[in-house]
Amino acid sequence: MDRNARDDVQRAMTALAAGDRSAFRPVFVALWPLVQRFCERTLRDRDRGQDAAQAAMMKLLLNASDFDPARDAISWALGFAAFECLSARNRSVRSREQSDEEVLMKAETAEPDPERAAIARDLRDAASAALAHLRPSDLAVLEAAFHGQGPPGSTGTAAAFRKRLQRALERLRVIWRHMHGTE
Amino acid sequence: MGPSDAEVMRRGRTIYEIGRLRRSSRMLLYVLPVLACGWLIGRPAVLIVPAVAVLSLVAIASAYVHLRYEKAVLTGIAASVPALLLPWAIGGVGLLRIAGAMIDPCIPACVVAGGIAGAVVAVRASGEQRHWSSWLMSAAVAGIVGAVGCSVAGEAGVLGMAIGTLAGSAPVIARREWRGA
Repeated sequence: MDRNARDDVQRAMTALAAGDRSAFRPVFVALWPLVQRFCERTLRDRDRGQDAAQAAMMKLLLNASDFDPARDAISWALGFAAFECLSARNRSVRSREQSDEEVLMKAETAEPDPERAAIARDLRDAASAALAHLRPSDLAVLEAAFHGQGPPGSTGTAAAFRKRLQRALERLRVIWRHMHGTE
Repeated sequence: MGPSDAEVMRRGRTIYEIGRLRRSSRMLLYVLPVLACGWLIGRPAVLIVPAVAVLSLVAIASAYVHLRYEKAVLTGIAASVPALLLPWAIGGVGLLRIAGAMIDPCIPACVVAGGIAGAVVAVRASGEQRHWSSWLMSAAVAGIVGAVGCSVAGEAGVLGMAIGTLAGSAPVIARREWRGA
């Protein structure tokens, strides 16, 4: 745009800002193609560029009455265009991120919660290791209690069984504390 | 296929008018505090309410039309502040004896305040391209606000203010017309 054309746009924009409606057409005819080209080149997409250009043009005209004649009209107009292009780019990046997140969230996993599954596995391994150090008689008592069975073997009262279970659990706690330093 | 350039331009015109209306509504920020002063100095609601309604309409419509009328309204409001407050300020003095006659000082105060308002609006308007319409707008606004203040002295006060406004404007307008001719 040459110097004369730039001055014409400046004069028209100043008149439009003051309320001179006859300046609307010259302003529109000068700025609309400029804003369109800017947006299409910045976004490298004709459709998105058109959307951004229209949004920029509407914002520019909404704020036209507040235009400060001391400012350069072309730069002011391109400021709106740049902002809309930036917003369009950010929206596009956000929508891509969101669709990636949705894909990950929907991905099938073996465990409902991988962290909990890992903890459960570690606890099972630790318990197995502790149980391996128990005497066979204690192990038998614990197994019988786990399966809800009566005292192992053909002899022994319920009270005696409960006492043996208590002692087996106590020995297991001691082994666990010794191995893992915690209850 | 997106909208045509003509459609975008049509929408743009509507948006531009909305922007102008949005800007012109800010005139209430000047109108309401000035008339709130009128209420604070004890002017009756029967005067304040119509003044608020008329002045708000005039201010917003003027600013919507063009910036020169927005400036004219602001000039009118600023110029009328003495007419709004002076009669109230000296009202407590009571009647004065001047040359053997008992005179209410509010009436001459309204004339003087009107003269100040008239001179200020005329000077401001003479710098505008369309000075007559600017002057008329400023004088009308100054008259509305001034009438609220000068009603302290009754109809005589309001009349005095109007005469003062014309008298204050006349020399400035005459000088401009003579120089322009």
